[in-house]
Amino acid sequence: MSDTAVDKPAGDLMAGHTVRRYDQELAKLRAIILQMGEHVIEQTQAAVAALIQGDEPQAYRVLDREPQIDYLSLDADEEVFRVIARRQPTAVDLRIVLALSKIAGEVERAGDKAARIARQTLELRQQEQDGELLVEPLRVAFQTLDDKACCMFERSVRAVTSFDVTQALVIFEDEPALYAAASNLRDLLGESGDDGLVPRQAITLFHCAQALKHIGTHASNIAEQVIYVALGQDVRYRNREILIETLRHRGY
Amino acid sequence: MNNPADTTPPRRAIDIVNASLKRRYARERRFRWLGATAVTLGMVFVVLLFADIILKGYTAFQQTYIQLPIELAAATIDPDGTRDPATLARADYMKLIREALREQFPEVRDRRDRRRLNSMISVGAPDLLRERVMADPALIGTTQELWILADDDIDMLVKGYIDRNAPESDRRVSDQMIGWINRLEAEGRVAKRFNTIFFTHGTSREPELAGIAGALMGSFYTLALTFLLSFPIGVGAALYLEEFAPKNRWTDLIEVNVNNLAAVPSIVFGLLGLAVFIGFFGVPRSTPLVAALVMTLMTLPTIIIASRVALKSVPPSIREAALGVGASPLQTQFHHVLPLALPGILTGSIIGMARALGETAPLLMIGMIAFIVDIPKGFTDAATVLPVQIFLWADSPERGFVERTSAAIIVLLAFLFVMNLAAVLLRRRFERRW
Amino acid sequence: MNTMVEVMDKTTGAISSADLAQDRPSAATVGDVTVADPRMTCRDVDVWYGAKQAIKGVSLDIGKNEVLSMIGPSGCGKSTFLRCLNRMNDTIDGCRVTGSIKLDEQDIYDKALDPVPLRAQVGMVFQKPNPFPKSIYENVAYGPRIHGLTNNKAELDELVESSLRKAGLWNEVKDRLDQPGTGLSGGQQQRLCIARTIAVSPEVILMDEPCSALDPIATAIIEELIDELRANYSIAIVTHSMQQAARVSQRTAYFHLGDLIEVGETNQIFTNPQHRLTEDYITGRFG
Repeated sequence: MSDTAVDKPAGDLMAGHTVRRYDQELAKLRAIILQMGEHVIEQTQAAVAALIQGDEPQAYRVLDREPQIDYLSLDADEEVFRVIARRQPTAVDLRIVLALSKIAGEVERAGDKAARIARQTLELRQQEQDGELLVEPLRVAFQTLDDKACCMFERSVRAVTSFDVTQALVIFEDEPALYAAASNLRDLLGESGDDGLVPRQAITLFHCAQALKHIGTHASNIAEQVIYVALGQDVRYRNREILIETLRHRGY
Repeated sequence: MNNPADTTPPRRAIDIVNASLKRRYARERRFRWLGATAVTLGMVFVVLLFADIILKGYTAFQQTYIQLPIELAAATIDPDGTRDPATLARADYMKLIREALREQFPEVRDRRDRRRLNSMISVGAPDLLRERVMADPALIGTTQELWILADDDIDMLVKGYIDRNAPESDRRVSDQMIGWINRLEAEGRVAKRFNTIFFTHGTSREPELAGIAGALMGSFYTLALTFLLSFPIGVGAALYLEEFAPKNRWTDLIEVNVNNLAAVPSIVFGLLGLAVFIGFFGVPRSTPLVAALVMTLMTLPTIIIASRVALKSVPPSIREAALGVGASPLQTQFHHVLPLALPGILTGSIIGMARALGETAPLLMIGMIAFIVDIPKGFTDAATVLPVQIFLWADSPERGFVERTSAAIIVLLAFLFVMNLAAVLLRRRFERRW
Repeated sequence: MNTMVEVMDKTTGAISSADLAQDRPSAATVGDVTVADPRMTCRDVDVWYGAKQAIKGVSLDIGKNEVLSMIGPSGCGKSTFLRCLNRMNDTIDGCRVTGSIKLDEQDIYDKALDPVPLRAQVGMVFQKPNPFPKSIYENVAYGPRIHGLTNNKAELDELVESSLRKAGLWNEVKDRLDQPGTGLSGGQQQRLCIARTIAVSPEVILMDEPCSALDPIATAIIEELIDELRANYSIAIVTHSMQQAARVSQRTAYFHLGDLIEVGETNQIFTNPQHRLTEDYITGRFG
């Protein structure tokens, strides 16, 4: 399919309908999801900061803000129904609507993960007897995992803005680093008895680490949907290395 | 517009519309009024025309007869008593009538007066009496009160067309004759009876003996043959040109020619008929056959054009439907297109026929103007047609032909009406467009 | 690129690009124009109206028991192509068809071939319901009668009934067969036209926007009917309604300015068309 005419258009996939209102509806749906994504990034960073610094009010704030994302996801669902009912999308439009619907789910669940971290933080604060809980290596490891997950998530949200295959590819490529950071943290927590953590605390912290890793996984899932929209191929459950290889081969 | 001092608010479109509304309605009213006037005017003229013709013509449907007691003497009619038709036909019936008349007016002795008395009786009266006797030979030897056909001058006098008060020199009937008629009228021997002669006889020099049967039959034969010739040829040509012929320069040329032929003056067709049919092919002149051939030429363009329009108006979806189930082009045309186009084709043909019925000029060229007394019995008998007959009578000097002309026009119009009625009925029958 | 396609084939089951390259007679068309079991095969068909080329080198197969839909913007040549398939274009002056169109290995543009029996084999249903202005019975009986398909009245009655049944119209009209076909509703008229077409037992039925004059309910009935007819006939349908093409057809062909741009499984065309023009058209981005 090297034929130039066969190549997909370069511009905005969602624009250019004869019915301009259709463009607007799709843009609105995407805007809701982008807004959700931004909230999730803020929430995650705030939650991780609360965890690391043991900042209880910060954790409460995160929990307070969590319903906003849920409400937005309801809005997104409604918009999806509306577009399907009114426009009967086909081809790329159908893929966009389906993908955005799934992406909304992924983002919403990523928001849940941020809230979970905040809840775990509060739990830790209750168990905590005195002083600093996290030793330096743990802190660094959390920070690294947080950076990785947030970076991937931010990238995935950016990929959604233009259904950018290149960005999605980078997310896939980042996955090993995410998993490495997660397993590093797990190892540290496994040995955490030496640092004076009771098993209960270690398990709580492990939950937080899992949540952060899942945020990264949600980013990957979003990237899969971006590929689905842009290339029309469902790449879920596909061997990642071969997929990355093929996409690179294709020039992304 | 650019003047900043101009502060008047922009006029709304609806204001402009309202302002012009009155003018627009006035224009519409004017147009309607004009239309109504035109229609009324047309109707008035039609009514006037008909009224004039009917008023002038209705008296021709009655004819004046004089009742005389005629002694059908066997000695005069059938001296041998054989009742042989040849003998009966040869007898001098005029003598019988004159004798009867003389008995009515025994005081008239003078030769000249006698001749004048005899002139009150139509010269055709003996023939009518002969027919009567030959139809019923038992009458011979009896004396019958018979109604004898009066001369046209007497007819005119009785019908009031001759003014009895005018000076004697100004009228065709002398005072003496008026006196005789007055006497006969007083005796109840003069009456107007239904004019059967008008419908059963051919034309004649004598108005009272002139009928339109010859012209009517001539017209009928001519039209029937014209229809038989022009309808199939015309419809066939239209079908071919419209549905089958390739669209190229030749068919374009034919189309232009057909359209032009429809506009050719009819006298030209007469000349053509004279030159080609009579001159070249030797078709007998003055016959319905040659008239029909000329009329066919003249009607063909009308029928072809009307048929093509009718065929064109059949929706193409019907053709597609028929072709789509595998009908051949000919089946498509004859099973589906032609039946749908038939009402239109018939209308066009009837218009062509009506035109042919009223046509005079080309027939003059092919000898239809000849004075033909006999009623034609076929397509090759010499004949004349209604409009030519009307033309001939209108040209005759006798007063009696004036009313006959109008009467013939009434008959012609009735003929047209019947034709149009037939057309409407035919249309109704075929027009099943469900 | 090839690797990509092959990798993805494992899940989509699409035709591999290697096959594509070999069997595609017209280089311009995306997708596989051939089917395993073709009823009609068209190769490099050009249609000219005078000097104007209406169809440019179109190759396309119509499979047995499949509904092939043809979509495209107005004037794209889809109807013209459809009308080539039973030589309805013969009736148009200045229309010239080159290339080969075969019905069961018989070239229908063979000089020796008579278009009249061809049209009995390849029936056609038109955009506007066009029953003959005759009775319902006569509408259906006309085709069999002119072709002499039945020997007597009883057989004809039976054929009329079975055709009307197949067209799903029998129960609605059985009591009024002698009434005019034009008195039926639009949807019924169209089904009458379908009954008239199948009465001459065609192999292929061509439908030229059969529902464009009908309301949605009547359209749904016709679509259901098309799906049923697929069991016995090959159907090629031209439609302006993309949803209709998506609903009734197994394969879809997209025409654009006389070119056949893309052919493929309807599912694939409507979820993931390969050509940009196809995508733009079916998503409503032009036309």
